[in-house]
Amino acid sequence: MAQMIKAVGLAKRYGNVEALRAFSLEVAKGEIVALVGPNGAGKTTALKLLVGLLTPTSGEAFLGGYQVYRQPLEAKRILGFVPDQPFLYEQLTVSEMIGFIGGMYHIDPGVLRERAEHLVTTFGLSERLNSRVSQLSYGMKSRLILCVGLLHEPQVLILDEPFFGLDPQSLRMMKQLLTERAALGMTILLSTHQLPIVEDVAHRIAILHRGQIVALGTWEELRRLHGGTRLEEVFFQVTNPAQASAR
Amino acid sequence: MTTPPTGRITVLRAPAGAHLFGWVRLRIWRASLRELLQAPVKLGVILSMWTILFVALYVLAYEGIRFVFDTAGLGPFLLSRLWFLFLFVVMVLLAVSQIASAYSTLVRTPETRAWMVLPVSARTLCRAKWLESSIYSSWAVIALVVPLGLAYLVVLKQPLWLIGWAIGILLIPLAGIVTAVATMGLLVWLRWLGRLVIRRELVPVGFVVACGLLFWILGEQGRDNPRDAWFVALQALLPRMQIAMAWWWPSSWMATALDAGLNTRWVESGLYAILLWMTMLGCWRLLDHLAARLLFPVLRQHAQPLTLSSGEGAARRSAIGPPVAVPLRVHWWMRQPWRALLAKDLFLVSRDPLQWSQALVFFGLLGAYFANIHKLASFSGEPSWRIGIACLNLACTLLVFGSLAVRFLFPQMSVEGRSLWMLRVAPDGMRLLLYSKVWFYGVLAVAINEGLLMLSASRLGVPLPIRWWLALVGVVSALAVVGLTVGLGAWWIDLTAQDAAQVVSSANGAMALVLMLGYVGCVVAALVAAWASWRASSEYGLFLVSIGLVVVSVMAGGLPLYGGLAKLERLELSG
Repeated sequence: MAQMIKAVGLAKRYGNVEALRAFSLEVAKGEIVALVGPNGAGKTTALKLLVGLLTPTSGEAFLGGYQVYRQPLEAKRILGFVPDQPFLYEQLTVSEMIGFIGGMYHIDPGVLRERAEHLVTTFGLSERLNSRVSQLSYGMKSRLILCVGLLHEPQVLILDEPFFGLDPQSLRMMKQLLTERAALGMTILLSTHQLPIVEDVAHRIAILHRGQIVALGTWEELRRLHGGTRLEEVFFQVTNPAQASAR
Repeated sequence: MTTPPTGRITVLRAPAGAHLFGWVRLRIWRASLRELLQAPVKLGVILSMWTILFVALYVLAYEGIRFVFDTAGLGPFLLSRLWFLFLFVVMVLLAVSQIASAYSTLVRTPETRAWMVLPVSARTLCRAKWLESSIYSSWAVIALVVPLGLAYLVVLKQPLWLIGWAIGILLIPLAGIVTAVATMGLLVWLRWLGRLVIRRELVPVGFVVACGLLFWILGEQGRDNPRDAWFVALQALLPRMQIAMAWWWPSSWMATALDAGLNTRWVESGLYAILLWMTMLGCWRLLDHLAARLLFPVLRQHAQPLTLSSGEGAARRSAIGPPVAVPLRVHWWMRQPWRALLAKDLFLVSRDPLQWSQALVFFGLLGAYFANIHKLASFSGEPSWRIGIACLNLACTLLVFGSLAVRFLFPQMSVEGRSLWMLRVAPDGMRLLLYSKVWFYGVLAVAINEGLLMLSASRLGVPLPIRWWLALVGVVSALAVVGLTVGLGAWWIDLTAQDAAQVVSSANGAMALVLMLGYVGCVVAALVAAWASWRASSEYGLFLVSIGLVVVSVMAGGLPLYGGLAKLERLELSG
């Protein structure tokens, strides 16, 4: 199966702090992989290295077979990224924001209109098309950022904390959307702290601790290997055995 | 079971009420001061610029006051009357400035909403915010009055310590009265007439139109005999000064106290000083009572649209969109993603009046001045002097544009800040972003500069070949300034900055200003050399000057862009 996301020995060091160590991961086409780990484990660093927002101290990253740091244009054309904070142009309206992203990815106006209508309806933003981004709530901004991330129908979608700030209805819609897109062949890598959602949507789970992957596999494999009935138990078992035994 | 922390935590003891506000401000200012002291270049640049400004103001005021003072038989009388006019204008400007400052610090700032949920009374909150906004709005007035007052005392051969009395005893209560009344007016307006909000976009337009009319009116005085223009203008001015000299204005009290003090009538001066102080205290108490009744209703009323953001309100606020969208439809020939980037910048700039209102005011005033400059042509028939004035106008336009470019173009990349990830993950986003900014602001700068230069040259009757040369210099220098400021902004990008003002006031901002001034200095030197060549009819000299200017401009604009692009391409967005 084609590996759409591939990280080979990625490392990132900030001065004396080693944020990520020998991070290697492969994600196949149509697969959803969730990256979980405690705060400061290196999840965001790993994702930012994969999308090219950070330069690694060592290692290589590939998206759809393109080297992220040597073939950035080709890699970025197939990439959709949703960061952990919904930072957008606050003074643009929702429709202008969609138009801007459409322009940046050279989407034909007719196609853009069609896709935008579908996504805006899906994310419940139809009523807010003429509202400025600054006037949206945090949850609305999160939905908008997902909407613009999917606008160019990327082959690879990388999401950092996509479930944060979403209401239960949006959460359900989001889970459904990710599952549907993966079924259509989109490769998805996401990081989150919402362990029950990970159990529901992820094909494989990578647990990151102190800058390196300490467990990787399907939910069944992890449960078999580390015991426990919920992912939360496995998570504590792997990242903090002392606390796990105390519980 | 959780283990209690073993380390000792030191908690600073903070005072309560209004003192708490001062305590917070003191800590913020102290941190800023420490930061400033750690950046000697920035500190040096700021101090030098203030010194130059202060000395220049003093020299200008000294020459002007001496000129009026030496007017046979009328000098001292005129000067005492002019103080009434000056202080009246200061009072009006201070009131306008205070309304804007109080609206910003009291109503619009998110901090106020945070204070509203603390156990702080409306009086305390209003008092603290009034004090803060008064400092913001009146420090520049005091900075203007000091050199003027010193020059006045020197011309009148009076002891210089009197400036302390004028500022400390007379000007401070005057400022207190004006700012308190303006704040009260703002509260009353927002409480009962809040819906009749004047659009922010209209304020600078109105200001420029008013100044243009003033220039026109003044320019039409004394057409018959230019040599007597001063006396004719004065004759027209003195009857109008009656408004400024009316006894009920606090500015008149200060002017009278000043005049009495300079003529050693200390009792009269002292009584007026007491009147000023008592009035200020009265206004303060009145503001206290008004705030107790109105402040929280006003804040609740005006905080609402910001948080609820109804669809109707949103549509109304984005009403500026359609006029801007028209040129966007027109530029259909432009390829994506240039079109998307241009549209983004157009929308963002047009919706932020702060971005363009200062440019409109400065360029509008220059335009109004250039439009009325034709009288200079009638003073001197010598073409070389007209060319000289046209060159001076070019330098002046460039200096204004350069200052605005450092204020607004230099922080452009930094204020993209946290939204920059969108372009970083888009194919070729960073290069396109940099070039689109140069393209967008370059075209805008060339259009404005050329418009002003053509206006100046045509009003002065400058010969056609010289007009073309000046137009060429205008294009080259405008593009160089854009390249310099946008390029340096990318090179020294600061993604931690909270806003544009913080970027501009940083050490890098000061350095960008120095480099911009250096480049404008080069252009001025080239203009002087070119003027000398014209006077000497040396075409070879003019050619050399032109080549030199183009080379310097390409380097000034190109090198920062090259460095800026390299920086952007390897920029890490870790935050």
